[in-house]
Amino acid sequence: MAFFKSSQPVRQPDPVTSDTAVAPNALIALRNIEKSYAHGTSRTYVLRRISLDIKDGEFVSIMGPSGAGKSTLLHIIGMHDSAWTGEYYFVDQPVHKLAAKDRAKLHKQHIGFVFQSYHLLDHLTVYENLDIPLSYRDIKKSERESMVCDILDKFAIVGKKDLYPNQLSGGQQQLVAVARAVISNPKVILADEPTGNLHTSQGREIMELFKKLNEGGTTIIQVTHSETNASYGSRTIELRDGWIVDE
Amino acid sequence: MFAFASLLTVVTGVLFGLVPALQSSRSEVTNSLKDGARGSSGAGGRIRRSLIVAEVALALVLLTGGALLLQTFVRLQRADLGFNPANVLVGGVNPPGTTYDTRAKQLAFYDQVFEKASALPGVQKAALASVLPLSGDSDTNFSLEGRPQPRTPSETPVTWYRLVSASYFDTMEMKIRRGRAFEPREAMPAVVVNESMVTKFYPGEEPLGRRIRFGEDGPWFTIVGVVADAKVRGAREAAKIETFVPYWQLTEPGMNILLKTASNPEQLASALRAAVASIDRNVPVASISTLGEMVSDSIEQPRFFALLSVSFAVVALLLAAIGIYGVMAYAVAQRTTEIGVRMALGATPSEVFRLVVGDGLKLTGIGVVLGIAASLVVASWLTTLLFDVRPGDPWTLAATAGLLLVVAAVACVVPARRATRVDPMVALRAE
Repeated sequence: MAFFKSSQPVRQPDPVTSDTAVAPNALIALRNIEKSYAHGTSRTYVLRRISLDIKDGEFVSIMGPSGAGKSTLLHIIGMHDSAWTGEYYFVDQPVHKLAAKDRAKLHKQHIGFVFQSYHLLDHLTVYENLDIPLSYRDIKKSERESMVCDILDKFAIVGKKDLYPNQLSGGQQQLVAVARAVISNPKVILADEPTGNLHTSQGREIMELFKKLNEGGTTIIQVTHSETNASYGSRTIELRDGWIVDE
Repeated sequence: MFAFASLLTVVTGVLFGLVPALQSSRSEVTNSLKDGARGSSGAGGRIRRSLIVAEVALALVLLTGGALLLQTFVRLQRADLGFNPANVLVGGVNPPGTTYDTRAKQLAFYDQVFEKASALPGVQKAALASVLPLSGDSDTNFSLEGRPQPRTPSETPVTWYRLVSASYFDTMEMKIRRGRAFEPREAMPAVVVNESMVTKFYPGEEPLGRRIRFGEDGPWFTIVGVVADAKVRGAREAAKIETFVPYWQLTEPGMNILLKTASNPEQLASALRAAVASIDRNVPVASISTLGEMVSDSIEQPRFFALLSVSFAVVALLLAAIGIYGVMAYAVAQRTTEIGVRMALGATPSEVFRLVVGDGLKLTGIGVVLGIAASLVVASWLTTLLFDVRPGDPWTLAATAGLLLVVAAVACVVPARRATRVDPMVALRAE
């Protein structure tokens, strides 16, 4: 509907070249991704020529100092941000060529996101928070109820279903946030500093949960400052000043 | 009055500004920071939403009252009075008793006035009547031939009677239901009665040919016709028992001239004055007006009430719309992060739009329900002011509730569109 204008601008795709061919089994493939902001006549780059492949089932950690572009890269992969240039293939779909509606569909189908600040909705109960992502997909109410009950059971938080976020500890809130991210069975979970606001033991619990999900076949991509958290993954990508400096 | 209104406005503003100011000065910093993250669900948000609900309820009450009074006014305007007041000029003549000291002189004067007035250019029909509708009473006792005398004065039947010309019923377009109107200069004492009189005193009987008399020992008048009821005291009041007598058979000090025209009857005023002056320059034509103006004056009070209440209702509606817009715009600003999260979790712009408008309509809906309950109570107080419309008229309530919901939806559109433009990236980073 033309009435609803996207807040994000339309981009022009870059041509695919032979030396940037997508690797086989690559769930996610980025080629020459760049993001910048204009300041008068100059430009400030947040990401510079990012090219990487992430295979299905990998557990990847993106590390780097503050301002390196880690979260920006994660949000681009998560399709929250479309103001970038380059090529992005997700499950062989050329995201850079897709219309906003198709991108949203792809994102809803395959991606779950875990935020550093949990971002649970305070005026909704745990049950209602878990139901939100399902309510934005074409799923019947009875089926949604069954999926929410399932995930409450899986995460052992059935007793907390009628509580509000402010009645939970930080670790419990992040647990609910992870449950919300996986409830629609996504292929990929993107986690932005998932243990940043938790103390050590709570953080360990969350990372163990990610490890378990990854062992179950879910691809995990996390942004982290913690070497301990990065050790849970099979691969680390180092960013500095918008460039990949180590992989 | 102006000074009082200004003072009241200032005091209201200060008073209602004091409450949030005191609230802010007392709250803990840490609680405020926590509330800020919670957006519109804190105590302040609840107060704002409650105020909107109250505003909507009040607007509905005023809208319903205004709609009922407006309907009353319109129905009064359109009410069938039993006669046609359109394009009828009226004026009164009262020949002085010193000059017109006999019945014959009075009759001769009235006959001349009637003849000259009827001949004026533009006059389609003319008539004489001792009392005009909507302009006063003329009651008298009467008795029915063959009926026992009343035992007490309170049992004596009373009628509102008028002396009229033979052309009166035709000029006023009053329908003769049975029998006939008067013949010009009819010698036999004749009377035309109205339907209410027949219903009360001759139920199921033939009234034509029966006789009545006015006072205790006056002549008997034969009923020659039955005319349809007319609402001579306005649309709100039921028809009175009326009897009509030819003006040449009884005397009254003063008569009214009625002139029916095709249009603009007021243009005949000067001509009428001149016509009467040509008969006797010492007899002025008083109280020249039109029947249409007299009918309009009789509903002046309902017109005023309708105008006043509709004005208040429109202002209340506008204030409710502004209030809803303000609260929703503030709520969207407060819920930027939430909207960003919802979009990150898969909400499309149309779903965000529906969320905001739905929220606004929910508030409005609660206000509407409370408003309907309050309207039913308030409208019952208006019963005496209403005409041909029930205080709890469901169509009026439905229409005003519907109007409020539409206005609320429109008031939510701008904030809702703003919500759809939230950039999830910006919203999530803002936290």
